[in-house]
Formats: sequence, C-alpha cells, structure tokens
Amino acid sequence: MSGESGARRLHGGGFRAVGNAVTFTFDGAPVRGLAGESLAASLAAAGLIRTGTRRTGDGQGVFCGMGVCQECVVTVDGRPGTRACMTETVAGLAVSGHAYAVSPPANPGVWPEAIPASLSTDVLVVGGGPAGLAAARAAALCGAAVTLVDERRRFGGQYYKQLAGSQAFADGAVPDRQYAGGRALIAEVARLGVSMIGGVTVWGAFGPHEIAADTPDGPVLFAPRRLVLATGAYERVPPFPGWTLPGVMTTGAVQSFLRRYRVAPGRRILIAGNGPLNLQVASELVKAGAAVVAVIETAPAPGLSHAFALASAAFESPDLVRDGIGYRLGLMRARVPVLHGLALVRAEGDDSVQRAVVAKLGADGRAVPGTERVFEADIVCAGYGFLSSNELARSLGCGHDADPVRGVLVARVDGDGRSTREDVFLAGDGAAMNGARAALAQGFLAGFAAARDLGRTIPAEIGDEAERTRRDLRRHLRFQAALWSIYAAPRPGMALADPATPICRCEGVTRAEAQAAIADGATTIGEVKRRTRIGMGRCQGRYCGASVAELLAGAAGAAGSGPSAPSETDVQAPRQPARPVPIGAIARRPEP
Amino acid sequence: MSADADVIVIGGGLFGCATAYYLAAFGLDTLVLEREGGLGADASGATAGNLHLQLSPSTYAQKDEAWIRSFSDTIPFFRDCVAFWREVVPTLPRDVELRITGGLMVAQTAAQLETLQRKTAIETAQGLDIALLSRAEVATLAPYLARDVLGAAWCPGEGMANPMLSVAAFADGARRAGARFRTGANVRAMTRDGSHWELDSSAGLLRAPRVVVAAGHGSAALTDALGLSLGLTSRVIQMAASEPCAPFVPHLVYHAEQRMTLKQTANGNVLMGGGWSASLDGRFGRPAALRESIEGALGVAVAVVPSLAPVNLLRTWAGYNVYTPDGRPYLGAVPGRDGLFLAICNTYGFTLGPLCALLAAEAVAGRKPSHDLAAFAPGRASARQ
Repeated sequence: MSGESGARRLHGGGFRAVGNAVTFTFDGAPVRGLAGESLAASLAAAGLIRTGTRRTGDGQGVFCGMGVCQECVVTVDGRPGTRACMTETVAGLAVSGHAYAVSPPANPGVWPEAIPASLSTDVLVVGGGPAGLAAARAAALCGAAVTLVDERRRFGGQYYKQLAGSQAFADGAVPDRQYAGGRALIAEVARLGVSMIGGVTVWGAFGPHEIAADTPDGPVLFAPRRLVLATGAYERVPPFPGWTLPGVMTTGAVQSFLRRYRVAPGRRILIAGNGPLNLQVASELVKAGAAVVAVIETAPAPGLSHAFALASAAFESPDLVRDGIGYRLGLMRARVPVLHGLALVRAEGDDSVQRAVVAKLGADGRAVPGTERVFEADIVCAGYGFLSSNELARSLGCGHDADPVRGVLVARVDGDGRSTREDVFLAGDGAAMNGARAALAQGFLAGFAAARDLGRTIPAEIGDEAERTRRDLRRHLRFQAALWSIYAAPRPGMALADPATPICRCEGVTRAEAQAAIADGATTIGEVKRRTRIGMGRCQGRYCGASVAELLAGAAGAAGSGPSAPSETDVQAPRQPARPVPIGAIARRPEP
Repeated sequence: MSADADVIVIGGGLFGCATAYYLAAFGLDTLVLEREGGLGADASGATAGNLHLQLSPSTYAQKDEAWIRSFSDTIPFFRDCVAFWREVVPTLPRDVELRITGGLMVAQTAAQLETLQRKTAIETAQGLDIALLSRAEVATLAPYLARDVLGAAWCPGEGMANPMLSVAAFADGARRAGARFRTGANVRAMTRDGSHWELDSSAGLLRAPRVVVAAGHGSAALTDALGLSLGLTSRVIQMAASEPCAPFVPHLVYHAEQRMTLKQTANGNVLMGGGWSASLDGRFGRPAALRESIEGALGVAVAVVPSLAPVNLLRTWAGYNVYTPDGRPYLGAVPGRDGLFLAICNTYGFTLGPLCALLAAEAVAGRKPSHDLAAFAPGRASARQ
C-alpha cells in the first residue's frame, strides 16, 4: 500500500473539523480518523486507497463511494463485507482489508434467530434525496403518517451530500445552495413529524406492503399503505483498461469525499467523462484547494450548434446556467485545462493509479493513434452520467420501457409518479434521469398523490402548490432536455476495453472470457453468466450488465454493434437481496 | 419433406445437453432445442448441484415408511450415478468442479437422532456406505457445526459439482461431436406425421424421426398433449448464496428434519437450499423467492452453521423441481409411440443426470442398455398410481 499517497484533509474554506480525533486499526496498524466521518474517508485521508484484494489478486478500493459497487468493503469487528463508505468511524474499531473470500468468524456455538419488528405506516418513502424528502414533505403536509428511510445515516442523498458529523460550517460561512437547500428541506421534513430512519438497508421488496429492511435497531418489516420509491441513481462507467485500479473512482465518489468529509483523496486528480457533474466537482475541488490536473469531456466544446439549447437552458433555469459558467471561469482562473472531444482511454499504475491516458476517439469508439496524451494523476475520476437504481421497483413488477437513445430503462409512470403496480409511486432519478429539480417536483407530486389516495383532506394551499409544481416540472424537464443536447456525445460502450480488461469488476471476468463464452455458443446474458460468473458478484450486475448485452448484440450482428438498449426482460432479473445483507439479520427459526 | 436432424432433443438443461452429448457420440445428427433463456436456464441453472446418496429429509419427512422402503431400492442406482459422474468428468472438455466431499445429515433433537437411526438401517440394507456419528465424532469431523448437534449420518460418497459449468461442459462436448443447438425455440406442439415427428416451435416447424423429451417441468405440457399420463407435478423452490468465504464447510450438510442442504462451492460461496417454496412472479412468469422462505432457509442455516451469521447473503433465486409419482425417472422409449423417448427426472436430477442421459441415448440409438431400465421405463405400471 503506497506510502506516497497524496491524500489529505482540506482545511478552511468556510468549514471546520468538529469530529473528535479517534484511533482505529487497519490490518493491525493504528489509523487516525475523525468521529462522524465514514471509514472510507478516514482510510483515504490516511492514504489507504487500496483496501482490499480482488478475486484476481489485484487491489481494490472505493469506486462508487455511495454504497452501490461494494468495492470498498472491509471486515469491521469481525463483520465481513462491510462497506467502508457507509460505516461511521468510531474509536477502537478493528478493521481489516477485504479478501475476495472472506473469513467467517470462529464458531460461536449457537446463533439466535432474528425476529423483524413490524412497522405499519401510511406512506413509506425509500430514499432520502431530493425526491424522497419532497415526497415525505408533501405526504406529511397532507396529514399522512410518513416514514422516510435512507441507506445513509445522514439524509440528503447524493445531490445534497450533507456534511458528515465530523465537519461543520465555520462561523459566518455561507453554505452553498446544495448544502443550504438540503439542510432546509431535511429540517422541514423533520419538523413535520416524519419518522426519519437512517442507516436502513432495504434488501427486499416482496410486495407494495411488504418491505424488508435491515436497520441499526435490527430487522424491520415495513407494512406501508402506500410506497414511494425514490432510490436515486448510480454512475455509469464504461469499461476501459485500468478501470479496476485502486484510485480510479467515479466523479461522485470524489465529490462525496470533498463535500461530506472535506478529504481530497489524491494530490493530482483527473476528471473524465461526460456531463455537467464533472465540471462542478472539478470546480469545487479547485475551490477547496485540491489540485485538478485536467477535466476531460467527451462531448465537443459548446459551439454555435448549441446556441438554441443553451438559450433554452438559460431560459428555463438561469441560475443553473450561471453556475455552469462559474465552474468554467473558476477552472480557467486556476489554469485547469478543460479538454473537449477527448476521452479517458486507459489508466495505468502498479498498486494504484499513477497515470491517465486520454485521446481523441474515432468513429469506432477507439483511440485515434497519435492523439494520446498522458497525465500524471493519483486519482482518476470517471463519470459518464447515471443509471437509475430501479431494482426495488422492478422486483415489484413496476413496468419499465427501454430508452434506446440513452440505453436505459425508464419507469412507466403517470404525471403523479404512479407506477403500473398498485399503491407504488416512483419519483426522481430512480424512475428516470431528470436531475434534482425535476426530482423535487416529482417527489412532491408522488407524496401528494399517495396521501390523497389515502383519503386525506388536502389543505388548499397544498393543492395550489401541487398545481405550481406540475408547471415547474414541465419546465425542469425542458431544461434537462436542453442540457442533454449540450452534452450529447456518443454513448460510451465496450470499444475501449482490451481483451484483458475486466468487464465484471466483482468477479474479475475479462472481455476475452465473456467473448469466449459467446464463441462457445452462449446466446443470452444468463448463459454468459453461468459460464463465466459475470454478474454474480456483490454489485449484482449493476456495472457489467450493459457490457454483456453489448457483446451479445455485437455477436448476433445486430444493426450497429454499439451499445445496445436492453429491454426490460433482457437485463438481469432483479433478485433479493437488493443489497448484500448479513445472514444473521434475516435468519428466523422455521415453524416446527 | 426432409428431416432437420436424426434426433431432436427438446430441452437444453443437464438432461438434454448430456443426452445430446451421447447421441452425437453415437454418430446421430442431433439438434437440441431450448427456450429464450438459453441452455441451463431453468432447473439445471437453479439447482444446488448436490450429488446425493442418502435418502433426503424431504423424501423422508413427506412420505410414509412403505413408500420410503420401496424407494430405497434406488439407492444402488444413485451410487452408480455418482460413480458415473466421476467416470465422465475427465472426458468432458471443461472442468465442472466435481468434488466427493462426503455428506453429513445432522440431528439436533433426540427424535431426529432416532429418525437417522431408522433411515441408516434402511440405507445400510441397500448396501450404502453410511454411518451414524456420535456427538463427539461430529465435533471432530465438522467443527463448524452448532454445539447442539447431537449426531449425524455420515455418507462419505456424496459430493457436489457446479451445475452451471456441467451444462456448459456437456453442451460443449456435444457441439464438438457435431450436435447442434437452437435457443429461442419453444416447442408448442408435436405430432407424428408418418415416419417423422413434426414440432411446431417458435423457431418454425422442425422434423425428425426421433424426439427426446428432456424438458424438465416443461415436459408435462408436451406429454399431456400427447395423451400420456405420466403424473408429472412440479414445484418452484428457491436457493440462497452467501458471499465467497475462505473454505470452512468441506462437506455437503443436511438436516434430519428441517429443509436444508448447505455446502460451500469451489468459489467459496455457501449455498443454502433444501426445497423451500418459492412463488411464480406474476409479471414475467418467472420463479421468484419468497421472504418467508429466505428467512426460514437462512434460519436453519445459522442454526446449524452459526459462523454464517455475520456473513452476507448475496443472492437468492428460484427454479422448478419436477416430480414423478414414484420418485424415479422416466427413461427410454414410450410404448406405442414410434420414435418418442423420454429423459425426465424426479428431483435429484443433478445426481442422476449423466447416467440417465447415457441410458436415454442408448435407447434412442437402439444400443444395448448399460443398466437395467425396467424400473424407469415410461410404460411402467408403478408410475401410473
């Protein structure tokens, strides 16, 4: 594990560390962290970027930073497979690096059963980001008894990314709009009497009124009358050589280190991919005093052809466009190159990432020879937009349609977010990617409709707000469409992956192995999986599903063998548990 | 009209692929049809992959003593089947992670111990190598078991293989020998037209003089439509898998009374099954796991192997089990139906698969059977009870 890590804590800038300095051990050696931050943040700040070992023997560490990829798992006080990014640092923890095959504890002799507590509520909202908070607020304003759960202890989700308990705003500091907006909304939801439970892993949606979860107080079976799923999204990253090296992570992961914990995980950070988040995070890093070596954007530089889209975006959400211009100016002042029309084609390094290679992409999606440029970097971020976290909705049978342009599934909902399954509402990016403002509006409308379903008398001013929200939603959707057209770029696919590039990160299955299975006669995702273990790992196929679909489509000679748009039945069927969950938290003695 | 093959095998699971493997080896032009999910998508992809010799608790708990005694004469055949696995694996073009680990059926109450005593007596009478271990012997052999395990039936000949790789291995071997496969070919109806069977499938009309029905739970619809009363029933059951663990459970473990089979795969995942009921997903018509069954299956698992408590559950899945009335497979020619053959198993199909496939293929090819087929003949009286 590298001793020359450039990770460090960021000081000043309107923040102050308030968490107690605590000591825990990692593989026996003491590590200093701050109480209230995540173990992942403590480890990164201590320069521990490699925290585990893959099936292949290679290193692994934080990748998504938001609980989806499961690559930051470590063993904590004898509990294997514990996500460092979702676990709070506490003094005295015994943490050890992850091995692909975990060590079960010594035989304790017997184990008691886990009896889930039953919890009835009018409306259960899963997910405490913009959509979930807005849904909880609307339902509570209409008089419904609302329970709001989130996988993190702290609410706000991936958009509001609230400061962890280890940090606070300095006296007189003005929190930016995302911090402030989230804080205000969370406070209002709490004030309205919503039961807010953090640290909840919903592992199974067995029916609209049967939601199984593991919580800090033990297993709970939620029995809501109406269910609002606001499960958000996770970052899409296409496979490229070196993408499994420790230190290669999503843009959102680095943003979490920065915004939640005030930690810069590296000394030289390169950000690559497609979409507005990359610029924002680069600008935030620079502002906080971290070094960004370059921002690599696949889309061409905005030019005359984008004039209409820019004007439309500026008309619908002038403040967001102003933010975008501010990000660019900030990067320009800091002399951070923002290079358009280039792509990250390779990451290189020994134990962890040391270099990023970027290049122009040809029509075949591969690097154009002679255009390669090398950047020294100890953290390489990849962000190519998002995929909806729709596994709970799909396991409930909520209908989805394929969006062939973006290659994603989009939930089939009405204007209120009502899904095709009775009593289930879907809102925000978990249903379809439309950004935080649309998510707020959709959340409100879903929570409002769920409460109205239950026969609540709707206060007049809430009805008025619903009317306004419907109009706002239409505007937000127009803004999002304009934004997408500005950032339009070829959808990233498999073109950059070498034969030896793992396309299944969890099980270390390479492109060549997947192709061999197809050459041997496999014709379906399931067959490739059964032959290679692709998609059988901890992330449950979330990062490799699209790659396998594309290889199969290419082999079948489908028109334009680029990234394919899987239909609802092509993608891997969602299975319980939606997230890995300790066996002891589910185990019940069967009736004799 | 010409034929599409000498033999069409309906079903691309372990039975279908292994039958095709032998048919192709016998020089017959063989075409295997499978539905949309691809090879091994149903029971063969969902099974735990156990190689059983002991009478399982599900057999034991659900049937009366007379049934068990009559079924127990299949024990020598099961032994032949496991021996055949060991014989055939080295001939396959890829590894299938076959391991003979021994199996332990544990008892946690005095009544369960008595059950094991009665059971092992029947099994020993059939020549099975099985022994009842004391509490101390179990603790030495299997220190991972719960403290309250009072004893266990130990059968050293049992084991496991990877069912997904097994299907792939037989399919690859069959392909190399010239067999052809077509997925996305759902057979809706079959009729005899002179010297040929004509199959109406989603991949068009297909003809062959001989047809083998090896379609697992899908066999019932096909054979019912032909007026055969085989009495096939099926259930959807589910499985669970833990995250990969360092090796710590080296045996196939069952319970004398509870529904449980538990073992660690070559990859390290602990598989927990035992016939817990699942449901059919209303939307896709796919089998789906039930919460109560997940909770119960894991409950028995931690009660027997307590170290599993902090280990993570990674996956659950569900698949069909098909049952014949007398618990024995249907193998070979259907009397009075020229060119129609069956290769359909009761539960335990994984254990029986390769040898049963050979026997079915021998019948199709008109070869001398390497095992007496009378007890498994599709026309047997005992099947129509």
